[in-house]
Amino acid sequence: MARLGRVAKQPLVAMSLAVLAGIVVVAVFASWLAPQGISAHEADLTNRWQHPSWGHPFGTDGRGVDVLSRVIYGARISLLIGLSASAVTVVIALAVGLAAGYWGGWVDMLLMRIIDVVLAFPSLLLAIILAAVFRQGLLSVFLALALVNWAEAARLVRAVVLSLKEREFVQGALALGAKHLRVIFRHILPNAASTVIILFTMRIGGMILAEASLNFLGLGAGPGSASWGEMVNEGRDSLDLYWWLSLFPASAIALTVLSLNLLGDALRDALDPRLRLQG
Amino acid sequence: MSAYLVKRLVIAVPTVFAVLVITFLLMHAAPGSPVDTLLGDRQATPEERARLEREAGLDRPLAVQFFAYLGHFARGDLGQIFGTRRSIASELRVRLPNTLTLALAAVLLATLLGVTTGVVSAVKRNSLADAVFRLLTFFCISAPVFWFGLMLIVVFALRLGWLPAAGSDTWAHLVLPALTLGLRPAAFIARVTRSTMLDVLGENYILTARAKGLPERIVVLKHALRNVALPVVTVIAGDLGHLMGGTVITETVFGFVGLGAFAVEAILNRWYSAIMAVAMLWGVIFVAVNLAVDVLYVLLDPRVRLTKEEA
Repeated sequence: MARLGRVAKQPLVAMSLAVLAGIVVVAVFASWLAPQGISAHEADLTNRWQHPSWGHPFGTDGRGVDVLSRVIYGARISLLIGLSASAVTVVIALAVGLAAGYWGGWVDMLLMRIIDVVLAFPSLLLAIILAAVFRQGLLSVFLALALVNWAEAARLVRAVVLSLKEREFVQGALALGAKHLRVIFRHILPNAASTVIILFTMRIGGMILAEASLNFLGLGAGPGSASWGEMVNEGRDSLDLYWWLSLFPASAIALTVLSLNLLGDALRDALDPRLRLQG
Repeated sequence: MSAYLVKRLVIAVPTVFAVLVITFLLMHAAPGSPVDTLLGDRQATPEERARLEREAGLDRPLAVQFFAYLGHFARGDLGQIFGTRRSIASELRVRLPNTLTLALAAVLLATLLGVTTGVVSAVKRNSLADAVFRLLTFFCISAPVFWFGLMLIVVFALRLGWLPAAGSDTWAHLVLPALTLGLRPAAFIARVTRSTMLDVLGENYILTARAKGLPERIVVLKHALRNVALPVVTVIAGDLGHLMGGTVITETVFGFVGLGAFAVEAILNRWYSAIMAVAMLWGVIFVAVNLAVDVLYVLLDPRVRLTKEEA
């Protein structure tokens, strides 16, 4: 814990933490913080495509909806997808990596081949196909991202488990007749915890980027929604006229992911320097 | 060496086969079909629909359809996009070279930018330049690919008017997309270059080189830099899937006529045969690049070669 405290004192990390805390607050209290509603019936067609001004700091979009308000609501979607998809990814990776690394043999063989196949797909294209299978909507984006991105992490977990399995305390527990599940939960998992925490933190940013990319390609929450990627997509055909439509949501994505990556990197350096080159 | 490559090829075959099977099954699991795309909103009689489905071969059992694709591919016949006269082979003949050129240009640019900034960062460790480069690196990893694309279009195409914003006809059309696609891998390369150089610059043979009185430039560029080649190749190879995903976004942003944009179009329109052709092509590229990386390892690292020859 003391190491984590030291990490938080680094200026860049402290800044990232502050930014992330701010984004979480904005997401949770979006309905109070947003200057205007963002649903279709609150659109004001007489107020379309307003330049950024005091009244609308980020301007308004093609339906007359305040862009700042949409960006504020968008924090919800990005965080929701980022956190939930990373959590599921890490759980899958943990299950697969543990099984492969701990049991070895044909289980390992089979799981590693599956991982090879998943990694042979370009992840974005596989996510697009999966999003098509699950039809439009946030849930489909979440499922697509969670099912695509676990393979690399599973490989890493497997490597950690393989090295832990050979350590004396695990061998000792096994020699004393401890059951496999006990060895896994009492001896291996706690020692793999730092890897899992790092993996989780490092994934969130990637998931937010992937969600934005899917929405940018028109797969996801759908037109008019407050997804940052969707907002960038809506503005991209009129960049020269209405640059604020794309610029602000894109900057929100970049700022969020940048903070997450800085934090993840610092965590990794503090908790597990061996992982440094695998980001 | 050749026996090793053959072994790798044999292992790769089931992987590519599995990719094809999964792509095929997922596409058929997705709602809609090429017939639906063709009909659009038009109401069709059940007879008309059945006729179209027979024409598309969709009335046959799934396994038959799948192996029909493989049979056609084996004979070099990629078929047509259903309901159009567009031949898939001629689409790919235009798009594949475009995308390969784009990807290659991006990788070259990324290597150039990444290695240069990485070396400067390592040599001038903890200087202002190092801090700026490291922050830029973080930024390039964090910002969405389409954001770079849009920003580059605004600045260099719309404001300055130096380069075209869309299209894929000339070399000038390649500059902005290659930069868009290359910035992310450049950041990863810069990272790995910096950390490798920092490790290497502490080695004894570097000390020896300096003790001999060699100029620092020679020490860095001749003795230290060559160690970077291997990790850089590893980073590029490991990032291949992302690069392919990046081409999808980049081509969409720039209206670039390439494979990535075609893949998305095919998936969204449920052009089954086009998707299968792209998946097949991707599988071949994936295997080829991984083999090429293996060969590069041997060429770049004498230690790998030695153990291979002993074996």
